[in-house]
Amino acid sequence: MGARRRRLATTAATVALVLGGWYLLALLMDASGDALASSKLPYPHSVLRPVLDNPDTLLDAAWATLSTALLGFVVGGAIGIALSVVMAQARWIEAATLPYLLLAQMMPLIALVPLIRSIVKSDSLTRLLMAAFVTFFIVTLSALRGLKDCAPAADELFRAYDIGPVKRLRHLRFPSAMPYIFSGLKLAAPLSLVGAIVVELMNARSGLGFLMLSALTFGPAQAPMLWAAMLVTLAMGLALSRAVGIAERLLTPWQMRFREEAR
Amino acid sequence: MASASRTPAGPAPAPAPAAAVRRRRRPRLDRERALAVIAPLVLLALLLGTWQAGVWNDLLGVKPFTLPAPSAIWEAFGESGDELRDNTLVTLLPAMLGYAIGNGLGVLAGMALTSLPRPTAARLSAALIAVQATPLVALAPLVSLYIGAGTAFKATIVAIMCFPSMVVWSQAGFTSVETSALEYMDSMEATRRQVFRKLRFPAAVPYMFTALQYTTVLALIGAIVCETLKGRNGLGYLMIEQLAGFDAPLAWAALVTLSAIGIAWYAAIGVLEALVAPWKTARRPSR
Repeated sequence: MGARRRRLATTAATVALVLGGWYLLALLMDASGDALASSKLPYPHSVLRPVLDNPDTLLDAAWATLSTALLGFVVGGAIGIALSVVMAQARWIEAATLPYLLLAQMMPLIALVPLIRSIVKSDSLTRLLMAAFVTFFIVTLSALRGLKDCAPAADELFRAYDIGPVKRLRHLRFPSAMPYIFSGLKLAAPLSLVGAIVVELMNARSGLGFLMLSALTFGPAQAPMLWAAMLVTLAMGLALSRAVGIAERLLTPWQMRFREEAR
Repeated sequence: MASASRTPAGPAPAPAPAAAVRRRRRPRLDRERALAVIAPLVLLALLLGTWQAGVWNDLLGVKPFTLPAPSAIWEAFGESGDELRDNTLVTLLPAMLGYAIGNGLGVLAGMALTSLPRPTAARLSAALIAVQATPLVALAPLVSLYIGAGTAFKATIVAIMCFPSMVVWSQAGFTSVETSALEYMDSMEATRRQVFRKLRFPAAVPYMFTALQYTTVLALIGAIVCETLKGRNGLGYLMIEQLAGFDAPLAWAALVTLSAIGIAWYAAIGVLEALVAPWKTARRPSR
């Protein structure tokens, strides 16, 4: 109980420190006489105002971004895992696709946004495809690495008992790949959001990125909205990776590091 | 790696004479290597062939002026080579500048974190890992209020995007040294500076290179997003502009250029690591 209270106290102190620092800097910015002071660094309470005044605008935008990014994330992750299973079975498929998967890690896939958009001509579909695409490449690689990394002794035991490939996949390879898959998902989660945001920053008509852009063009009067949208975007990234972390803990509670923490 | 997983396990066969083993292994290895070279090329040829033949245009229902054939993209390189080269420099220089600043500051911050007491450092690096999980590009519209546009704007965003990863990795590297080695240096009365130079820094170099490779992509993404947001030139801007003006081949050529830069940059960091730090730690971090 004591540890919990101490942690709460540290969190409260951190929040207070951040807010205090923000107020202080905003005060300095206000005093500097900059014409754009209220846009560059508004007071925390003025950022809160658009959230309280018309929460629907912000919620709608957040939902437009999150729903498509999330759907893309799930679809991309599922395809990635499926492909990695196929690749782990058939040597020639792996040989044919692995170099491209590796190369894709080095390419700025986000640059595909305007091209995909020019082909599908739909903002939400572009967001979905982009999120799925980015996730797919990362998850396939990490899942493949995981499927190949099962303990050789366990594999031999399974073979000695003449257990078929499907059961071996289900009971041995897949469980041992789970930590890898989740580390891939954790890496991909923020990137799928980045993909969605970038689509919106490139002239979409909905979503948080669009809200930021329009707030930017309307000048200081809309600046609190810019800040609110930005903070919501950052918080969404955080929440998404937290959610993946929680899912990992629920689905693979047997992982060594979770067991050590629980002790 | 793959061949090992395919070889039938079970009771090990009786050890054969070395020569026999070599004769038996040889063709198998050659086949593996041939497969690794030929299969990707076949896939590439298949993809480009169907693309060139217009199969994808029919499947997706798009006209050639939206999805140009590979030959048209190739021609765009010849026709607008100068334009592509100029815009490449406009994109690449700020990206490299921001990359250097962000990663440089990241190493310094990682050093500072390492010198802090353990609990504080752990809390701060946890916060940085959280920051890594946020879509930092979302800061671009705000930063554009401070720094209008151009090189400084792009470099700032790129630096912001690279910084947290480098702090997290370099700190992990600095603290990856074994306690016994630290104790040994302590017993030799080594100064903190000596411990850092002889032990912590070399241990952290592979970790730093992991971050350096990881952030190359982020640097390019940051620069492109800034250009599409506020820009008059650069490869990102070129793509948007040419798509609006229906010169899709040039936009695709810009994409190919960006991808090539990304691959070359990543590979260059790998070569640099082999030159600068040929040693590897036992627990080489994978990302």
